[in-house]
Amino acid sequence: MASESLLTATGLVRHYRLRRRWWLGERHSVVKAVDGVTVEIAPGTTLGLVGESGCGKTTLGRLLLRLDQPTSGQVTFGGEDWLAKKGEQLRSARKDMQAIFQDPLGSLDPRRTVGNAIGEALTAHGLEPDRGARAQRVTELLQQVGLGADVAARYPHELSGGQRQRATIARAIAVGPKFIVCDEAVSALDVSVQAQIINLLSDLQDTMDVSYLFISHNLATVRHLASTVAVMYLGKIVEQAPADEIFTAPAHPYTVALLAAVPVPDPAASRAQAASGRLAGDPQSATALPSGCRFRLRCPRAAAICAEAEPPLSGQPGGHAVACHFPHS
Amino acid sequence: MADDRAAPSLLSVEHLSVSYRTSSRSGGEHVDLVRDVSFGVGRGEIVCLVGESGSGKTLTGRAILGLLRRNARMRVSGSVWLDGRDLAALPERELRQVRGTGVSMIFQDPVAALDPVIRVGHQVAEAMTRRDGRRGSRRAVVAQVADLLRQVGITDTEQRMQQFPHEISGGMCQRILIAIALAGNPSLLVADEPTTALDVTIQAQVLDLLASLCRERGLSVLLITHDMGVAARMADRVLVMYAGAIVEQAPAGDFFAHPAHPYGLGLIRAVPRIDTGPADRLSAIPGSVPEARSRPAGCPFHPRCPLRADVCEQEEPELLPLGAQHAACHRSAEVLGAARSLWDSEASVG
Repeated sequence: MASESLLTATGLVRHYRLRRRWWLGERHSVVKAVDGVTVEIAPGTTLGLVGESGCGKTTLGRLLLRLDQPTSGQVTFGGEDWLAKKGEQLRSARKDMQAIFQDPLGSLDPRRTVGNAIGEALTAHGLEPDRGARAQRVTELLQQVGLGADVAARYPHELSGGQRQRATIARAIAVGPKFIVCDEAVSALDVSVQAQIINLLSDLQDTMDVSYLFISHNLATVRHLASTVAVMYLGKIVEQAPADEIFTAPAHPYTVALLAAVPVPDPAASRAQAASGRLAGDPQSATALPSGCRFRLRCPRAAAICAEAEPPLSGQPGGHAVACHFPHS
Repeated sequence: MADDRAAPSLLSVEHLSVSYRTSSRSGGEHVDLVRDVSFGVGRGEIVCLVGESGSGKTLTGRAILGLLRRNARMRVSGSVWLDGRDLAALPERELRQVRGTGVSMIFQDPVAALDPVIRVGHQVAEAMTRRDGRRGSRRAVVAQVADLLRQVGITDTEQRMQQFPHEISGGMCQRILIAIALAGNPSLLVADEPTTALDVTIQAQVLDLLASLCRERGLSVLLITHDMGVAARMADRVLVMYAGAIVEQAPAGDFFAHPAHPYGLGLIRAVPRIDTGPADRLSAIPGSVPEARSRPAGCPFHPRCPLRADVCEQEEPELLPLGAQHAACHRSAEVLGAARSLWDSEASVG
């Protein structure tokens, strides 16, 4: 397993120091955004990363993209030490790792046409230096994501939300990446368009053999893409398993609660779900973590031991791992 | 339509239309954004208005509260009867009295809807004293605010009241907004995508809260959402809107079991689900909502529809009854009978 992995992150930690000035001096606190995360992604597969806002899933994506520096930990990408790369070396390696974000309007330059934006990705990496060939390639890319060639001449504000997201996908795949971080890539879209984009991502994976880190707060959108799912809570992975097992046999009480919160388009099922109990309250602050298990204050199964010892993520490698003293079985 | 409601209606919207004249530079033409919409909301009933972005849901909600600016470019026609009064005919001064006490609205982005520089307790108190028209003693107001916050599921009220919107979470902000909306004891709440900006876990909490408020206070809710999962959880009745018109209207049970319009069916099928197996492909509706300026002739849905026939390209169907349901589709009988499989073979459409 380890030898064929495309990307491996080991013990990844990102702590942010907050300094607050007040009239008697300074107060320090530490936000443990990512607190010891280990993930592994094989070529052509998708790791679904799920959790609530503030659990650190976006920070983890940014660390892998090298948009932010980890406090500690290692990342191996394509067999090389990814964190050691700098300067020109890093720049050319970025070709292999691309990103798609939640708000396509925010990630496209409003003053550039779509064709221009995609063309820039090509020139930045020295691909297709010839103008005519580049325009040709842009048209191909647009077709690959289901857009007409005419879209190349249009500006982002002229497109619908779904078309814009397709354009950012075209730009991401333009340089032939091996790995794409999709951070809430479908969360801002209408359900009907969401389904189109999920299908598109899955088709691209089949044709290009690209791997995804698919970050979402909704487990249901992950189901259709992910081969493995990791559930994150306050900076730590609390459960990780092959997708089928997460959905059919969730072990961590938090995963169970997340599954119960997904809206189902069936009145009877969804009301039964509501009656079966809800997760109360908001996540704790990442600056003041509770002792022991981070989830215990919201957990229906919490007992004395949960306040004393933090449960380690245990399970067989590549199989079903869970960090809980009292997992569901 | 408005004629077969079982319970006497609290809200009755009749022939509501909203049109907008584009600037003379871009042609000066009239664009119909909401087209002849009629429906009712009974007492204690939750009605969900569903559809994609751009279908006119939000405009309909805002038109009910008279929140659309009435000027030379924007034209609103039709009537909005609330408790026997036509809100569309009321002057702005009287309308302000109705807002908050008769009908309230909550919006999608709870953090943006609150004033960032005023403590949340004060914002709730403001809504409350406006209703009474006078200020009670400070102590009495604080007690009332605390009581209201407890009703919307906020526990440590003393502390919460002192906080600013940026200090509390999105879910908590939405609870505060619900408290503000309820401060004037309205009979109808218009909720425009109230949980879209929230995490699924928090969404579930807020929806549970809305459902229990309906039960306990007899509050009626017009819930605007694009999420069929939310509609299934909440709705007594579902209205489906497309291209500015209502294309299907049905009791929730019927709608989710056997929708009568291909659009309703497509929306239901597009939701990613966890309770069925991982289907290889989601059934997406191809294309997107047409812009109001360039709606196709005939049925506005026909370019995206797997069932379109010649008649669909020529004649726009009317909203007609079909058992307990109403649908505006030439082929609704077939949709009702056939077709869970309708969207499975849609590859060629588009």
